[in-house]
Amino acid sequence: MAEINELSSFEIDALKETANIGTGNASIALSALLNQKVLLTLPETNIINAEEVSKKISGQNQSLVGIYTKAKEGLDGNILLLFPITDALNLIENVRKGGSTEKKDSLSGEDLIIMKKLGAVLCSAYLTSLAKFFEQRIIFQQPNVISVLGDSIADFMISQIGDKEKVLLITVGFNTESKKVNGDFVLLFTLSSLNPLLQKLKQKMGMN
Amino acid sequence: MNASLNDALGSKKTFLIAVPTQKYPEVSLDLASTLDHKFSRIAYISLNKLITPLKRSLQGKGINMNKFFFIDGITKTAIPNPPEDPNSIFIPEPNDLTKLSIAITKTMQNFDPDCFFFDSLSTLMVYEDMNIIIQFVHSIVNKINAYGAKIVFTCLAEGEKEAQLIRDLSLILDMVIRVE
Repeated sequence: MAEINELSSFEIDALKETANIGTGNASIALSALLNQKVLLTLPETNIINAEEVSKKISGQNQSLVGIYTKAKEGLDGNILLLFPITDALNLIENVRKGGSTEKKDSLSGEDLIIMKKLGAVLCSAYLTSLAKFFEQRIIFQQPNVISVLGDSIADFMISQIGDKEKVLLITVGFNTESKKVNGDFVLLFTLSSLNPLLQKLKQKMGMN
Repeated sequence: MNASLNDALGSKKTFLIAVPTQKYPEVSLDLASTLDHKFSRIAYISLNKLITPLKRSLQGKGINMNKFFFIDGITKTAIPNPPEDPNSIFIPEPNDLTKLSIAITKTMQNFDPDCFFFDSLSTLMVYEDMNIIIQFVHSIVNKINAYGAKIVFTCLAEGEKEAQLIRDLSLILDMVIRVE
């Protein structure tokens, strides 16, 4: 397969739209879990070399909690949901719907399980919509909960991806109606793994 | 900070370095560099940075990697089966304190470090409450003291929880240094 280094404007727009579809579905799933509206910001989309990712998503000079997963079949990339710790705790409290009212400042073992399940629900919502759209099987690994600081976020996103590999980086902010849960979806896929999906899209639209 | 730490490393054994969040990546590298100059064998306990980018950062700073052994509590959360590395032990999760403690003991037996660098306690604070962290620090400090090595912990300097951690640990550790 020829290496992808450039995308046409149609391909870029198509990828942005599929990103919107995915994050839209994930936000619907989150909204259902929290029983409140989830508002999304406009996605920021970049096609860059993997080594440039840290310039785009670093500057997070605070300690953050993330739910991290890696797509392992059908796509090559990583998904991360990021929250400040207080928002992560609010998220869990919302999901529990009237659990303990004790003020907490760390994630218990049970909280970690809830976050991993949340991660599985949201990633599944995101990737399932992509899989349906592209008629492609996509599987991801069991999500993990991580705590990251500063440029460590970029390290997770480009783990196991070569520095010079071209990647599609999408960041979408979200917050709940109550403003108590604010976070970011950060999605990164290698262009080489997106190529077969783009070919299918073109076939669907009679462009091949 | 480096001057005070450098002087104190001769006489004291256990340290906490409290670092402003904005300066954390740069200061943790400076600390590793200070320890590289001071000691011949350093065990780096990493809960925050994946091992490959961590080693790259250390090499970029001119640090002698042959002196380092890594206890890595973060890489397996991103890469479930990392490549085997003779200079590293991987534990599944940063908050698996039992496996972390066992890894510290194994490192003493097999690598014989003269100093441990624990990066960072603030990462543990996401997963565990204060009492557990204090007990854990107490336990590994006793173990490392008995073994005869030194240990440098890091934590973030801002926040109520961090302020309490620093206050509580100042009663256990020989020295607390606040980076401005």
